[in-house]
Amino acid sequence: MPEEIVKSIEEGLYVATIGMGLVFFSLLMFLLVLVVIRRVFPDDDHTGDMPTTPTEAKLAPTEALLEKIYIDPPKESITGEKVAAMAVAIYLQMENLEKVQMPEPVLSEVGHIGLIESSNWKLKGRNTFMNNQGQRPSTFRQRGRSNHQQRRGF
Amino acid sequence: MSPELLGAIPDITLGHVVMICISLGMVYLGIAKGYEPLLLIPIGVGVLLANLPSTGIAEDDGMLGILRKAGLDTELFPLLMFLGVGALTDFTPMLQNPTTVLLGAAAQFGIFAALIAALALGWDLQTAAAIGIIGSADGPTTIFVSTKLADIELWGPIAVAAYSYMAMVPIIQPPIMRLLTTKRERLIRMPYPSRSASRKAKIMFPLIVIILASLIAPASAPLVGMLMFGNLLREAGVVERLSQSAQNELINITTIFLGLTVGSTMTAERFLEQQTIGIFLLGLFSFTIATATGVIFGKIMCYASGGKINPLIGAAGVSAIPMAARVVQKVGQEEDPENWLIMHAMGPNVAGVLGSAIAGGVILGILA
Repeated sequence: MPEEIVKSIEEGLYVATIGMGLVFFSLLMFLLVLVVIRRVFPDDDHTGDMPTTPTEAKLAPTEALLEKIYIDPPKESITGEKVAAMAVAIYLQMENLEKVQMPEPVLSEVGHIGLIESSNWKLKGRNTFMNNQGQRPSTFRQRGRSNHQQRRGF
Repeated sequence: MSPELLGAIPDITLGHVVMICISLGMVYLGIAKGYEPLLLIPIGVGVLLANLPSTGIAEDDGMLGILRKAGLDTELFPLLMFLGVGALTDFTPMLQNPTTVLLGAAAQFGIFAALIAALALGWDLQTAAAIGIIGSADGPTTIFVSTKLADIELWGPIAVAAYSYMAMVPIIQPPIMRLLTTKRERLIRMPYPSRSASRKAKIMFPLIVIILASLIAPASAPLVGMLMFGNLLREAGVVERLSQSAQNELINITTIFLGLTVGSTMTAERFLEQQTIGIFLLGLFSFTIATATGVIFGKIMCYASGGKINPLIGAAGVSAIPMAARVVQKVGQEEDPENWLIMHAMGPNVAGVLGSAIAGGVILGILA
């Protein structure tokens, strides 16, 4: 091997040693930072679809209300009469409107949704499901994912 | 008929025809096969436009030439893309399991292994480093470093090699992962953390990383700064509009311009050289070593933790996000369909993004 190449390989080994050393050192420092941050700011108790804080996910009114009930349940218990009244009200509403219109969450207001706490699709799916209540199930070809007009027949 | 109208036809050379075929091949792979379509389609069209004779579109005063000077020569486009990548990246898996940060560091060895291999093949140190950075598996970092260290004729091949291998991660990585791990290791199940990282921690992390990275490797400040700024927009929770813009409009517009301009550097006289083949082979070598060192370090962590860490997640240390994490999931489920490794693999995956930005900065700090 020519001496020139051997010399440049030596230089490369120097760069590799310094480079890998600095990369490991930097990420080791980040590791320490992560450990310290987690000590200083303890982790949240809840995971999954639950937002970390109310400001992190500004949900649509219905969702926010559901969340409020979930986090801070009403003190008085819901009696069977109230449940029956609610069921009747929902039935009458469905009769009148044919379908119950649930407010669509404005995606721009849903806020940051992380890779792990990905509830974007769930929200969308849940609302699609709620909006379809009281309707007859649609045939496969009519179930479009977009607002585009679906092709019917051939 | 005016003679200028058909004036380009006599200027077509065999090189132009080959490059036009290559550009159409890229567009085909992007559309029909789905290989990194966001990049391969703009790059393919950039190559096509630059190789149509007598148009002058890729010359310095042509449309693509002006874009190249504005965004590529100044390294603006890769940095803006990194801002978008930061806004799209969720560091929670890394915050939940901090030890996986080290896997992101281990996988950067591919960069330096390819650097040494390129030197052995006779490249100069700067060019060898620009080729080695393909192993970072990170498009913006690769383009940022190569535009600073390599000659313009190498920018296109290096960027295309990087994005091609990123698209081929599901083909390149699994055999290496299977070769370096035992069935018993692949069967290891990792428990999911029961808690999520706090919002304050998520906000503090990018700020501290900017400060630390800039102090340790000042040349990495533009890359890490943009990455972490994007992430801060995402985690702050009060600048939703800016976060959404970075995640969508900004990164999309930059991707179009970056692809077109990188493609425009791939003219026949620059691309159809023997060195292009060398760059592609070294890029593959770099990816292979990066995956292997990630898995080997995963094995070390597996032994150190008493068998609690599945070494497969080490392969996700290459920062092809989230493709590498998905490959880990797939290989793990081949042995145990009930084993869900993807969220564990996302830790080293996002650490890999950070590691590659640091590695790029370190290389620039030593060589630029």
